[in-house]
Amino acid sequence: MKVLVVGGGISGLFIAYELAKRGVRDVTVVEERYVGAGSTGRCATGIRASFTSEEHVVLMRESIKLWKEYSSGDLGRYGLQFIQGGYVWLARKEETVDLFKKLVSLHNSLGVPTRIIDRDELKNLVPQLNTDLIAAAMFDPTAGKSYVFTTLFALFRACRELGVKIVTGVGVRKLVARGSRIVEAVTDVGTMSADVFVIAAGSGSRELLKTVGIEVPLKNMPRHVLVTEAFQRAFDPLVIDWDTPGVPYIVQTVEGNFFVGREIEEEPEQSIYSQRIDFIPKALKPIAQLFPFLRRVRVLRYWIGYYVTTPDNHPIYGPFEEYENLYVATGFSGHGYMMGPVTGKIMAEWILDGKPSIPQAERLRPERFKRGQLIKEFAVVG
Amino acid sequence: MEIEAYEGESIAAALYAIGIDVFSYSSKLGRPRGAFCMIGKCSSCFMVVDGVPNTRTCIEPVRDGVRVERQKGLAPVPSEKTVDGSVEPEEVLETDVLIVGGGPAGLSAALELARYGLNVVIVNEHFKLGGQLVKQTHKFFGSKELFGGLRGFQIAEMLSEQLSKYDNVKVLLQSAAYGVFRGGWVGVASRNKLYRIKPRAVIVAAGATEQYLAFPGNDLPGVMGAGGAQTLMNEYGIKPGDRALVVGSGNVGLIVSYQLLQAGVKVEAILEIMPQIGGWFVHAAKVRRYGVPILTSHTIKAAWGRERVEGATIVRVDEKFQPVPGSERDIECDLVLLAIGLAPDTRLFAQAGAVMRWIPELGGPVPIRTRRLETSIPGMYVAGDASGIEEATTAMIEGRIAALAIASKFLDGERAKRVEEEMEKLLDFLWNEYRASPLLARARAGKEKATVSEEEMERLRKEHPPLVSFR
Ligand SMILES: Cc1cc2nc3c(=O)[nH]c(=O)nc-3n(C[C@H](O)[C@H](O)[C@H](O)COP(=O)(O)OP(=O)(O)OC[C@H]3O[C@@H](n4cnc5c(N)ncnc54)[C@H](O)[C@@H]3O)c2cc1C
Repeated sequence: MKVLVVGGGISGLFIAYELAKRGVRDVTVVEERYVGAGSTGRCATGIRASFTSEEHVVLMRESIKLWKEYSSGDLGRYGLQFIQGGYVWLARKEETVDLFKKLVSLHNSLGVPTRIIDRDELKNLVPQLNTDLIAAAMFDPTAGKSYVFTTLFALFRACRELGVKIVTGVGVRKLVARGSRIVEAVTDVGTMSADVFVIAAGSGSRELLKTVGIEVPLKNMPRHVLVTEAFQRAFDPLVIDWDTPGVPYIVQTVEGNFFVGREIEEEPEQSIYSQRIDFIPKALKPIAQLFPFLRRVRVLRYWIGYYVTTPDNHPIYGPFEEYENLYVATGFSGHGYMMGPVTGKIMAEWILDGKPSIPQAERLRPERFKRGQLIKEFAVVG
Repeated sequence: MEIEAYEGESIAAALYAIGIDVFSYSSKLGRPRGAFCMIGKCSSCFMVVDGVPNTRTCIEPVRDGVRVERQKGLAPVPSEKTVDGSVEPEEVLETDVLIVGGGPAGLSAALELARYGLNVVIVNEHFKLGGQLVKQTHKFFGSKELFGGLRGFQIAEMLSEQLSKYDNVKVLLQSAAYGVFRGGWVGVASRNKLYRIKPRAVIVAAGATEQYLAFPGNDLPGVMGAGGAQTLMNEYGIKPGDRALVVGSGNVGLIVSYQLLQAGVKVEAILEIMPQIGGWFVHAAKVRRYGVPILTSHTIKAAWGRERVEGATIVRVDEKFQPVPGSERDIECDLVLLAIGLAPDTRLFAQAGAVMRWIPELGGPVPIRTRRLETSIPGMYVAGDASGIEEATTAMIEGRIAALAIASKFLDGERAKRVEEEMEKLLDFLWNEYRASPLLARARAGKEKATVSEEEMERLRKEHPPLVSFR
């Protein structure tokens, strides 16, 4: 079987990795620019299962299991890491604590052990935090983080070792269908044929699918982030300032830099190369209130990446009704990095076994939008 | 330890003067690191200054009572104590022209604009104006208008002095333009204050950075850019070492060797990877007279030493520039100077999304520009080494051309016409006289490649629509 994967981000690479591991000999990843050039190389690498939909929780519990497994296996040998430092959601207001309590019972009922922590425990977890501003916090001890560059490098090496061909600097411009099958992909350097086509092209997926008449309701939303210079390890959890609009967050990367993000109002499809001067102060002011040391820390880089979003903020997974050999994995709405391992696993299952081993994934097929079977989710953060 | 320093000295220079050359230890392998470029373009001289880690000590002036510590790997996050209240609120500024860089190009541009009564903000990362002029001790060629007969540092003093007479010029020292943003904003970070600047035009004259070379031991203290050593010797009067090995026989390599000899440093050899000497005959002859061997078809294989360079291994190369096995030779020295060229500092253009091109004759990627030095970002101009490595006189001329091009747009009627004429005269002089010299042939060829017609620029802008504009 010959598989062509379009997109060399976390999704495309994990899909190729799983397929190759399961014995598919001829897997090619075609990437328009370089590995990780899309959202993956721009993300915060937060990993958690504390969602409020069954679909996300079940998939992410599996994904976390895989992150752990992989980090101590072959991918780990090549540098992939999973650091289970947890997630902390801060409540500045008392009424938010009530909301957190509801979320905790929801998470707990879905099998995710979040809990409310008081200021003392918070101070232990995050010593640099100015807890005077905080009423209480919600803590997810099963959540964690990773490091995008070592992950990509590990996947790249492992894929190559398994015989996956990774072609970079080549874009796929068009798919060509014959009847109910996709027969080839037209690329910058000629056409490529395959038995199975997988679209994991992030922000490029929507336009590519249009070339064979498929409309998916994807939007590319610009999200701004910055990193500071690097310091010794200060705290492990990803910290979210829930009560500030745009929900700023901060996480220290494995290399020691502080990664800070905040949602600011943007139009979909706005170029990611159009930076805004108001972003840096907007992101840093609330976070520096919480972490006063940041006022003496320099910002090194600021960039923008896309959240590829769907109307229900859940990914689009699986085969299409219209074609028998076309699959998609995108629309992660800001959570595609953490889902990488489970994306690879279930997509490989769909392609090789005809269905995913996690039944909830079936509900995320592209047809759900036409049928109005949208998934409901409550908390889309980090 | 308490040390004395001269006013106006950088911390790095003051430390070097008393024999301290290890400034930090690297974060992963704990390797010693010392100064490299001495002009704030690299991160080799980081230290903890008054509790703030990662401070570039080569562009941080000494002051009474300042506490300087060696940085050992990553620093802990600053403690509450160092977080003083001296951070001022961000200031919004509007101006006619923002100039990034206070070297020969930037200063000349600022003066020209100031003369025409336009408002100018000039930002300079260093605490002194003058850029590379400050360390140029040789006399300039040419007419009086081109500062012929003056030495570089004298020109810097003169230009800064003239500039200080204009109250329509605001000078921000120790300030870096950190980005170009949607809507035509430029962000500037000073030591304790941020500025949000909205200019009607920008001239980027950010200069150049020294090229680096990959070889084992290239991070040892004592491995320095040729310009770094010049800063120590010529600007601060500090002897950079006792025995030097110079890599590269272009003019910079030859001139720095001569200056080393004058400063009493023994130059063990000058290495040149090409089969022939790169620089001018006059400069080569001078150092040869001192008995310095210029080894062509040679390169450096490694530098070694514990806390500082103690020697280097050199090797002969074949026609394909591959090392010839068995031809290695050890040279004892405490200084390895890299004089292998400069790269234009074009980071702001890259970030702004200007159309750029890799032009080897100019030292790397540079923004495509019109004859009037406007890039594909409307209202964003380039001048000096940032536009492609050349030399100080052309930098000053380019600075003036960019300034006049802008002034001709902002002024009206008769004045605009006069400015336009003056600019054309300068352009004519630059391209048809000054750059006609065979000595500038290579740079000229590069600059020709980087320069396009107004029509071609419009076509480029259609093909790559600018995301930001200052017009
Ligand atoms: C600021 C920010 C923070 C984030 N934080 C987190 C987080 O903490 N945790 C988390 O889980 N997720 C996070 N995300 C989301 C995460 O980055 C994405 O969901 C994930 O990286 C998507 O991976 P992907 O492989 O599906 O897409 P991408 O990484 O975008 O990969 C798609 C690739 O396809 C290529 N491509 C596109 N079109 C074509 C074509 N026609 N031909 C060939 N190649 C093509 C692109 O160049 C790209 O490399 C964040 C995102 C951003 C922007």
